[in-house]
Amino acid sequence: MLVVSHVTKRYNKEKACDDVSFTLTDGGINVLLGPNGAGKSTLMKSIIGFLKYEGQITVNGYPNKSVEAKRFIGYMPEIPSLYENLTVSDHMEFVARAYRLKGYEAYRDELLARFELDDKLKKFGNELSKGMQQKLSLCCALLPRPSLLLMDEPMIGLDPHAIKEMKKLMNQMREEGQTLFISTHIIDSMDMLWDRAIIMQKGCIKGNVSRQELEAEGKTLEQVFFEITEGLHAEDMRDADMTSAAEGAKSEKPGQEER
Amino acid sequence: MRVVKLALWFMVKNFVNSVKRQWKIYLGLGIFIAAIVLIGFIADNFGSASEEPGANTEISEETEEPYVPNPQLDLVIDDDGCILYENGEIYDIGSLITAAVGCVVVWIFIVLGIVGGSKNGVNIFDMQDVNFLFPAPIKPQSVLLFKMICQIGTSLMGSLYILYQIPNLINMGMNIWGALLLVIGFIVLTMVNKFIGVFSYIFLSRRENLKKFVGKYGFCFMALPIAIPAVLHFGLGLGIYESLNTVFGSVGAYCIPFVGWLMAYTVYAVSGEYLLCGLFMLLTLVGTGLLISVTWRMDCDFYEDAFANAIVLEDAKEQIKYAAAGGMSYGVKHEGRAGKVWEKRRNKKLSFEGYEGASVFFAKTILNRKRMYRLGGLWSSTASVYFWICTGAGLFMRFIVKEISPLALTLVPMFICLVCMFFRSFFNPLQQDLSHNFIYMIPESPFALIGWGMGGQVLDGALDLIPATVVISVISLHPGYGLSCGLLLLSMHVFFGMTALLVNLIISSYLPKILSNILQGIVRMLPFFPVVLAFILGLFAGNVYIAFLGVILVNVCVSLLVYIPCPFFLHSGKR
Repeated sequence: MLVVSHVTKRYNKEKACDDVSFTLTDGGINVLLGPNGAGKSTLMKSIIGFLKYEGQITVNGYPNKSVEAKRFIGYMPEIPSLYENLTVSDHMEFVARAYRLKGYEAYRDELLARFELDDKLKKFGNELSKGMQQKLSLCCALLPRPSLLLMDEPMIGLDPHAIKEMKKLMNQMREEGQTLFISTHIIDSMDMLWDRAIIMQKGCIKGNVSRQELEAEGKTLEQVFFEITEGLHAEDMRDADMTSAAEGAKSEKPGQEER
Repeated sequence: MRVVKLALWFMVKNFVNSVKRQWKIYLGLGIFIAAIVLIGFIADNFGSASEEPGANTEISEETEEPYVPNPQLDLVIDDDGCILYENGEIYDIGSLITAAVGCVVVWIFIVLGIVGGSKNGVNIFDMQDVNFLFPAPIKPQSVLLFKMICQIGTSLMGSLYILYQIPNLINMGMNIWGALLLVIGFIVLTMVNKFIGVFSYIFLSRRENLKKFVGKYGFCFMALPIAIPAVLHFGLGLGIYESLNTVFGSVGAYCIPFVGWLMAYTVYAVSGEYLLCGLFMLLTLVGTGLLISVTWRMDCDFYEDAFANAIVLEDAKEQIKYAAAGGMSYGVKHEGRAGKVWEKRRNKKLSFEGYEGASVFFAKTILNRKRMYRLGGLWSSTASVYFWICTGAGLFMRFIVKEISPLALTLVPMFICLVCMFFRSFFNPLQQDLSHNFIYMIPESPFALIGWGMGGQVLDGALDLIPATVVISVISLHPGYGLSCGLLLLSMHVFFGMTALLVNLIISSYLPKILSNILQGIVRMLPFFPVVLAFILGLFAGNVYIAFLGVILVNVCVSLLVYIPCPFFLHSGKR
């Protein structure tokens, strides 16, 4: 589905992505993890085609910047940005026209109902709350039924109901054979969903693990993440957990001053 | 075609939704325009009815002596206009001047398009376009075409105020079709300017050395329409009007793509030769179509530049929103040489001492000026523009046209500065202050707040005009005229600023900017006739200073009238 081959992106002399290579197969939820400044956003934007880079990125064999490749790709940005003078239904129609979709109305209504936007069809882009904008952004990304959906911090700003719906949708998409590639900081939110995790640090890929491999080793994603990025091992993490739990218990004792 | 349909759908939706949201404002605007048209119609009919029959009949009792032309240079005024004899050749002055003005205007637009395009040809994209259009299965060139069509739609709407120039053109002696054609020509020119900008960006994006050259020295090419006739006259010894005719009046000149075609279009629109006018417009449109076609086929990868620009724009919008909600804006980070310049500016010691209450807004404008500009705050980019306009126009009049009248040497640069000022001053001068909570929280009268704020802008404008005033005084060798010209321009600057402020206070921030510009254009036309009348009366009174004073007084009075309602709208103007 997606092949990233020796991708390097420089900003002046600094490398935001340094010789990054990996492959995503059809179907499955793939998570891109990394600390701030790891190069996750740069990599995502390079895949979508916003940036110039060295190396090669193909989607189903087509160069990622080609029109053919973009038929397979959907994108949900981290910060939703909607047109002020278009309503919710106008945004969906705009996407449908841009992607030349036919007979999309039923699926559009299903998506809007799923994310509780069906009673807000006449609301303008700048009249929606941040969470609703995020949901509309997601609906617009899903409308073309992309084979590869790229999501940048998809859970930010969503209420619990929307998060639940999104997870259900992700599972459904996985079952239908669609590929998701999700960049996130919140490891917990993806804990039960992911199939493959790619861990980045300082522009390089430090880890590329599948769920089966981790489960066979008896590790969690969080453990692997900290192992790779901070060199912490399972015992260190257990100690760290116990220390923070103890500090939490102390601060709850009545009459005790905070330090 | 699909992209064109998408763009048209997008524009119509935006416009319809905008009208639905702000229908009261559109209704008010429509009523206002209808009222002006009705008043004009009544005044015109009343004026016609009050004329006595036969009053316009002129009886010439002069006996005409037979004319003997001077073979070197002689001017003859006949029924059709001015005919000039130079070295035995005949030149139609009216046509030549029209062609020259048309050529210069078109050339400036084209050079601005090329140079502007080399620097920021793709800063027309917002974050919304980046998120929706860039990932879509559409060729980048089609995405660019989409946005350009939307921009043209917006420009067309914004150019509607030009329609109000039609009555003025008719009053200057042009017939209605000619006036309409000129307006259409101007609108087409703004479209061509945009397309050329995009072509320039894409062409230069893969030619970095050429891009740097164009960015640095491109503006120098604006002088070409003056330089070429100068070379022909001084270098090859041709007569002045022969040189001008070679550049602006010859058939060869009319064949130059865009510049020549639009120049010819202007000449034939004014002279009433509509068939030829139509032919050159057709050539221009075909040329534009070819330009779009070539641009569309060029290999381009502008998404990264557009994305970077969109982020900066979005950041700026967020800062304004954040500041309006009470937060402090953190500004834009400057790197490299620009960073050192900003560091020096930041370290300048400036103080608000002596200012309190609403006068802090006055002080802020002055202190910003001292911080940002050279020569103690005198040499701003606006001052530079006016300075170079006056220098170029003044030197042209004195040494090329060989005009020696101080009044002519003053009026021509002044008029050009005025046109420039008109187009540069559509923004709200107190926008920055009104977008923050601060101004609404100070316990001062709104009259004081607006008054001091605008006072700062008046002083700002006055300082900008000092270099130009000095230049005019020197070139015309008449400091009195120079000073009067400077004061007149200042009074116009005040008037334009007040109209921009009032219109922006009244209109909601959600309305398209073009509506604000249209309203401003209309309001600015209101004192046009009193101003012209005051000037003409002063000239007929035999004292130029009275003419200048008359105009300044009219501007001051109208500005005061416009100022009076502003404080009442202050709190509704929070953005």
